[in-house]
Amino acid sequence: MIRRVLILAFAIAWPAGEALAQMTVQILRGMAESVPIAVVPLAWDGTGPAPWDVAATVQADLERSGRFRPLPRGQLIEQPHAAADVDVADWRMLKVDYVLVGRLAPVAGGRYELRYELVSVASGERLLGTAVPVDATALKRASHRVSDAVYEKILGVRGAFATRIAYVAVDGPVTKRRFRLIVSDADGANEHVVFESPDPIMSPAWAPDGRSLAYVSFHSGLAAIYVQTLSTGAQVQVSARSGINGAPSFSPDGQRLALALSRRDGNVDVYVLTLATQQLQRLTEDPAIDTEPAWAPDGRSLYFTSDRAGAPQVYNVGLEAGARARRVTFEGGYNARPRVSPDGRSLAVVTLDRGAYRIATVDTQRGGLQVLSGGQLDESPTFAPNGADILYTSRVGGRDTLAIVSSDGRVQQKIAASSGELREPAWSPFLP
Amino acid sequence: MNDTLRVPLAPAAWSIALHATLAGLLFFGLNLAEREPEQVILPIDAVVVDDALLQAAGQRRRDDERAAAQRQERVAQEMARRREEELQAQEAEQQERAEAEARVAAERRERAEADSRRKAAEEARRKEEQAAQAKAAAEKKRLAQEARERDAREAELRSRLAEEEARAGAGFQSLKASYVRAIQAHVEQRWYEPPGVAQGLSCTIVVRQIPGGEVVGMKFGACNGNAAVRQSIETAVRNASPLPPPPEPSLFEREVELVFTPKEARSR
Repeated sequence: MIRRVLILAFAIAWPAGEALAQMTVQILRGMAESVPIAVVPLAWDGTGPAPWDVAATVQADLERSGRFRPLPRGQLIEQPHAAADVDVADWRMLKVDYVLVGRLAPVAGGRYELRYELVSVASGERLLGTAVPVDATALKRASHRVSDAVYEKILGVRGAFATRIAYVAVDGPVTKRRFRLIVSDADGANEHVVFESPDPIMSPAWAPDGRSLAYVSFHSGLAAIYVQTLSTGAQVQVSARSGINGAPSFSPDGQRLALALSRRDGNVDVYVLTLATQQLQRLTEDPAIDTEPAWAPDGRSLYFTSDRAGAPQVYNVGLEAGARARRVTFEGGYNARPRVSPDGRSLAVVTLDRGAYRIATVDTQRGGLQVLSGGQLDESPTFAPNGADILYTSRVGGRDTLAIVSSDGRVQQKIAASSGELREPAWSPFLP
Repeated sequence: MNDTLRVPLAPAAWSIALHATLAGLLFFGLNLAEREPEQVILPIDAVVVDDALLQAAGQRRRDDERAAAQRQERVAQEMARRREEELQAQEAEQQERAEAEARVAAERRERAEADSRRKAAEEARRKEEQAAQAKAAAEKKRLAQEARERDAREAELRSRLAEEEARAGAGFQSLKASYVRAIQAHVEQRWYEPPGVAQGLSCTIVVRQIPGGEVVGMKFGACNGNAAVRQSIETAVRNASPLPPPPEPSLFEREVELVFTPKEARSR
């Protein structure tokens, strides 16, 4: 506390408008790999064991993000539960930049009150101080929200720990395959099977409100596109036109679905289907294959893959009538399966990089391509809703698993697959 | 050379003395011959008077004739002798003249020689002078050259000094640059760059340090980063305390401006 007062005193003791410094040093990059943080186990104010170890969940979230380096619990020299009790000098000696403290207390109705505070060791400032009521069943989700808050306060980017992912799990022998559409928490825990079929399930896509999924299923014998509401399980077939019905993608307003159809002429092109009216708008009309549409965040154009130039490349086409497609990717001989970052500035694509298929980002304004992943057969990238990470499938040892790479390429992590192969992940939007 | 000069002088002296003697004898001899006829006239008067006397007179005449002949002979001899003497004198004179001429010639020669000697001496002196002058000139030239060289050396030294000073300045600059780099690396290693900040971030923070590098204050200047970016920078700066020491104490700056302008997103 005394130290903190001294530090603040320095800032005050330095009046504004003094002479400029004689020496200027340019800081061109942050070399620190991660942010050291201490997540102190929360005090439990109830009787018996605590219903949930909030700190453990937060610690795991932060650690898994690759952007934080939580102090192992065994190295915590003291366990304060309020910012006022945090002695920054002690934490400074442990080379910790931030300390998260808090307490969990039972309140009426079988609920809890979760209080937490985040302290900057550098400045001694309390950066966060929050008390939230939590349902007994939502302690884990509430813990992820604490992680989100810490992440955002320190990194300036909204955390995506309290989000979900959808993916297709394939297992069983070749003669008796089982396809399952699964939704889990972003950390892979808490799996729920949304739909299951012996026939292929493909291309899950989240509705912008996070309440439903669109996907392709062959369970009727032919390819058809369905929209399923997660809370009720209600499944609606939205497109079962002749030929290919593939690659659905919800518009930002959730009213329309972009999709790839071959229809009767067998020419695969990109269409936009208005869900309420079943009105179909054809966006491309090219003898080549145009597929895998993805909406720009402003909803005014679509990115898609086309081999009209001989090999797959990414193009952009406006939704206005008569709009001409514009090629977006120029680096490399293969760029496909675009997904647009939340800010619209970059695309995640599959690129052919030195003989391997890898995940790359493409600057939508300047066209620069940056390869992020290092696998041999990496596919199906999907942005986290905060744009900080990209989830994708990576074939390791003949098996597809899920992996995450930060969109700046700094952090890579694997998500352990419980069993079988995990394909075509789709990261949910921020959830209420 | 003196010996050759002295030898012709003695004959000359003798020649002069001989000439004088001969001239004296000639003068008195001529006087005697003129007086004798007066003495002869008187005896002739006496002979005319006596036979014996005549005989005596004849005898005397014969005697006189003999005497005259003898006289004539003597005179002739004297004349011959005189001619001889004259010749000799002439010869002597000639010799003398020759000698004189020789002497003159010698003198002339001597003079010429002296002249030439003088000239030679003068020449020598002139040459000496010239040499001296040349030497002086050369010396002057040498001195000038030396002066020039000295000047050049001094100039070179000065320029080298200036160069060294400049180099020292450059050294100072490079030391300063290394100090800047040290601080840069020190801070960069401690800065966790929040994701997605590279796009056009420019954030200035002025850091105040005390000798020893301890950061005692910091103040944000222009900064387009959000709160988290500022937080990350503040944390980096706090963690960077103490800042690395300067390679040279005089390089220490109490205030250091850190400009956070990260480059494009790093590639793997």
